[in-house]
Amino acid sequence: MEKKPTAAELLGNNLPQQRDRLSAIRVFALLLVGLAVLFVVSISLGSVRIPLADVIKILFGQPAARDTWTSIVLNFRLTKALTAMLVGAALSVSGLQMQTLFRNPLADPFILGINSGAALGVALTILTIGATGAYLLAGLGTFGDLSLAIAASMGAGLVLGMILLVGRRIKNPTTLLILGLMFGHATGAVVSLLIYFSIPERIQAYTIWSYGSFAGVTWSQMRVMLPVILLGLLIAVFLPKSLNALLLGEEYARTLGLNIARTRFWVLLSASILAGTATAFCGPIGFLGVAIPHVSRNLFKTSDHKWLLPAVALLGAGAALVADAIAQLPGSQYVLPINVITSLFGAPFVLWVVFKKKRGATSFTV
Amino acid sequence: MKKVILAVSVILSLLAAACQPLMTPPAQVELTIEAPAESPTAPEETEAATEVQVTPEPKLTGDVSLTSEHVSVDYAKNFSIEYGEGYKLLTVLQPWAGAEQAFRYVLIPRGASVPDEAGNAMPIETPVESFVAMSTTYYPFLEWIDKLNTVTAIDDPAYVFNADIQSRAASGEIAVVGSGATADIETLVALNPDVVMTNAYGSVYDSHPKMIEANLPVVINADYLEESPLGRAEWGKFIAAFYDQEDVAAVEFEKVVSAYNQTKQLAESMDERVTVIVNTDYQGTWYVPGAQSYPAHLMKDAGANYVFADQEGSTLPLSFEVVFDKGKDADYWINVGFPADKASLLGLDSRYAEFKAFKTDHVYNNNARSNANGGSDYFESGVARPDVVLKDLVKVFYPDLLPDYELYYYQLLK
Amino acid sequence: MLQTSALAIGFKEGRDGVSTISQGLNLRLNPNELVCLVGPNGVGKSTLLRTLIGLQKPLSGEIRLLGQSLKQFTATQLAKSVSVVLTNPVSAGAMRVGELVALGRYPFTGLFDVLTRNDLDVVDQSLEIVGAMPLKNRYIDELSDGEKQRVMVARALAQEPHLLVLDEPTAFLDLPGRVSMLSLLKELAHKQKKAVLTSTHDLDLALHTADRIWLMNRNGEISEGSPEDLVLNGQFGKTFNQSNVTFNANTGSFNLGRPPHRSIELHASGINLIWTKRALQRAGYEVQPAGSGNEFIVEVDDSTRPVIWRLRYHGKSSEHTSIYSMLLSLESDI
Repeated sequence: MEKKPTAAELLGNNLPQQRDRLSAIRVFALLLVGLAVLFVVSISLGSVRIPLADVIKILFGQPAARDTWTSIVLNFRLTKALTAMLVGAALSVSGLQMQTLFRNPLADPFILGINSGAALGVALTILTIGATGAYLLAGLGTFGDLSLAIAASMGAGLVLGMILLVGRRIKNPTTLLILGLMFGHATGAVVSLLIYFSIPERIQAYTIWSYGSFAGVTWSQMRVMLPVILLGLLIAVFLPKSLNALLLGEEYARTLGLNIARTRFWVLLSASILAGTATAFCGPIGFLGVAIPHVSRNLFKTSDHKWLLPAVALLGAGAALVADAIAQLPGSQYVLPINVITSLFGAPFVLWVVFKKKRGATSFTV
Repeated sequence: MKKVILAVSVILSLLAAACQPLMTPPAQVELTIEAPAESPTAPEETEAATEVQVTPEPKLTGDVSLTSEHVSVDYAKNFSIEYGEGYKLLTVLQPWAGAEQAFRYVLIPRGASVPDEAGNAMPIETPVESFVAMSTTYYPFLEWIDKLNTVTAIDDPAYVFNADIQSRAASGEIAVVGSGATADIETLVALNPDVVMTNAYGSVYDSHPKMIEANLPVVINADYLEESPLGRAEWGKFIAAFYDQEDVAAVEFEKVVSAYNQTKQLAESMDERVTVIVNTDYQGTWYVPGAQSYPAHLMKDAGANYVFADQEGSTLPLSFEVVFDKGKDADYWINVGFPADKASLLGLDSRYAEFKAFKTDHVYNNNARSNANGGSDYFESGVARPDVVLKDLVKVFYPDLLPDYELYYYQLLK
Repeated sequence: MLQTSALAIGFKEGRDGVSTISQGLNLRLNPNELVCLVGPNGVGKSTLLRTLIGLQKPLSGEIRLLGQSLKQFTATQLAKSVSVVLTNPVSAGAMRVGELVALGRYPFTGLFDVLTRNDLDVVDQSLEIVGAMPLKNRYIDELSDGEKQRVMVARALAQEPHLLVLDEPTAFLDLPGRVSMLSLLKELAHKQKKAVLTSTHDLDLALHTADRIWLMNRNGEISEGSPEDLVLNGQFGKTFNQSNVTFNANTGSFNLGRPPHRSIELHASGINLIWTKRALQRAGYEVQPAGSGNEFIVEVDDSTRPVIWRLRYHGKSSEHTSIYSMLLSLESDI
């Protein structure tokens, strides 16, 4: 019918419209460069002062002035930076998917109670079996440092399973949302009960978990976390077309040929794997999942998920790196919890973005 | 303009919400490191170097007057005993970290009237015959004066090490009343104890507010706030005062003091000092004790160089990085929490393998004497026997100084 | 194009219950035709539409589209044959008109939703047809409801359907908007050779524009035919008549059914005749022509400026410069 289009032509046809063509490419390029810079910055910052030159040397496999530094950079900071990027991207993608699936601008990755499920798993481990229990599992070799992660994943998986099961029969997405909220409340109530009957030390351990941290992930844990998050992201890569169709509401989507039940299944699966894994390894980290999609929509001036998906992944990774850098309080020996930073700095920033431009993507067809 | 106001108010409320987690009182944090959690069996006194003789007065069974000799409080900074005409005044200066008021108790013989000088101190009639213990650190002190059998209720038998208390709780002879908001006040009131002794932290987990409301004779014990090991052990006199046996407790205490000082002198003789780190990381934060802390004193008295000995404060949340940087090459690593072997410790975080102490098998944990739930006697009888703890530490750091001594609270992680 | 035989539509209720709205429907839709589905509120027009486009399952019977049973269409095949415009205006942030219309290409693009040159051309054509090309770069949220619905029609056109189905597309539009929408639909049917089916409450517009009407009554029965046929055979009247509202076959509109309680004679001509008669009928009078011998007479004198309405009865007469004051006087003297 026509000659094969070149890649450049295809790219040109699919950019968010005319006027934004150049700016979209520009912004993407900036994002990538910015992310690389942030990555290097994140690795150079920390409680222990290590000169940038040594950091670069270590990254290229050269020995540094002190070998504690080599270990710190490779085993502490590199893992932390990588974790932050993965988790930041995972939560942001998950949040985007939830917002579109439920046509709700306030949706976040945990809106279906996945978070509470993970918290329940962790609470059961820490507050009842006790830190002893978790450490009992520690003797099981590779499972040891995964014990908390496993407990959290099982809890999250339980809630996900229930949602998927019940969700098949529910037509209205708002009903599903309410269901998820109720699951979340129910598991949250059980957690509260466990806390109520527990002793202060355990409660403290649980509370610290709930503050969120990228620093607890080691390379051996990364062997599990990385592939799982990549799996979740891989599924997400095939979903932009379906998500775009959902933008006008489920009825129009169906008349376009979209299989609603199947789409819902895959979106929920991807979003839950991403959110559940992030929480399992780093504790519940709030705010990123809600805010980053909005910022991306404003930045790229589009709701087209072909562009939004990579955009939120990059922005989410960068935001997580920034949050972690701040939390490390460079120069001081103390560390702040991640959740405090994301909320404290994130909220005003998003407010600024939304008030600055009216194109706030604050409405969806239901 | 409206938008600005809206934005500002939203930001302020977010700030308030975000600061919630930061408002956990520091006393909570202290708890993980220093709060005692176990019950004791009476440790044997294997070496009592010099014995201080104190002739005890014959105890009168009649209870018209106080029967104990007066004692002084020399090491403990957080309580005092004052003697008046026919009464004793016990003051707990800081019942919890950051408390604004001291708690005072006036101890009078049964049937006596409260003297005016007591002011608003809470009156307690002595000698006490029934005792409710809301912490396990009281048991060893009760054993000093052979009054363990007066315990009628405890908070939770799970972490108790003391076999006697455990069995009596299992048989129902001792009631179990829980703690905090869920404490069983009704049972406590029905027991009608003479004293309910508890620790407090100034937080929502405290047991005493409800108890005071129920008019129970609550006494706050703040031994955990004592920095110095001997100071903590001296709280035996505080508890014994309720039985009019503080002089007996003083005798036991003096034994502890002299044994402690003897060991301390031994350690001072070392020229080459070993370096030490304590505790473990949790979720990227490593809580280390500062210079003004119980473990720091112990390490110093044991002749070791604690890596963070110059950090002011009682407990500090440091990043794993910092502890790694300073402590990776430390000779010894003690107090690692629950793990009982190297594999379990490694299971917590694979990066522990890089520590020199780990590589050279110099990791020691204070859970050699633990009950089934992981409750360690170190936090129970260890509080009353800092001399034994110190000896353990000296044996760990400088084994040749004490060739015939065997570790009691500590064990090597294999 | 589309044919139903013995179609029954309705809902499943509870466990085994079934609520039938219509049954035994044998309907046809042909290309080049605009069919309007009209009927009182709540008779099931939406259900019928949704069943025909496959959003809802029929209770029994068959629907054949382009010669093939509807059941045998895959979702994508169906999407390429039928497209729809619904009642409620959409809202989606950060989406431009062009992007929204491009959503109509969904059944045609591959797994990754990549648009080809052809896709973009179809989008532009669709916008041209509905006259929304100038809006292409505007954001959806900036448009008025009328513009939004136009854009939704463009989106439906981008699906290159054979059949276009609309459910009350004019419900939220003002009168000019409704007029232009219906004339657009007519153009789509005739110029673009589509089969167009729309439900509407605008009886007047439907009677003027539709090629055929499906008239649905409260029992779920559907009569179909050209608008004039349905008026002349009385179906229109029967379907819509209520206790106080009747369909006037002469005028093609509705009258409030108060039977005239008096009669009055009118002397007038031209446009004044038409509107004065309407006013008197509105006031509940049966209007008789000049020379009927009625004791009440209204004379319209248009030789003067301004026009004068003269009211004469029982020998008295009064003059008015507006119908309004004439009516007031009439009422007060009765």
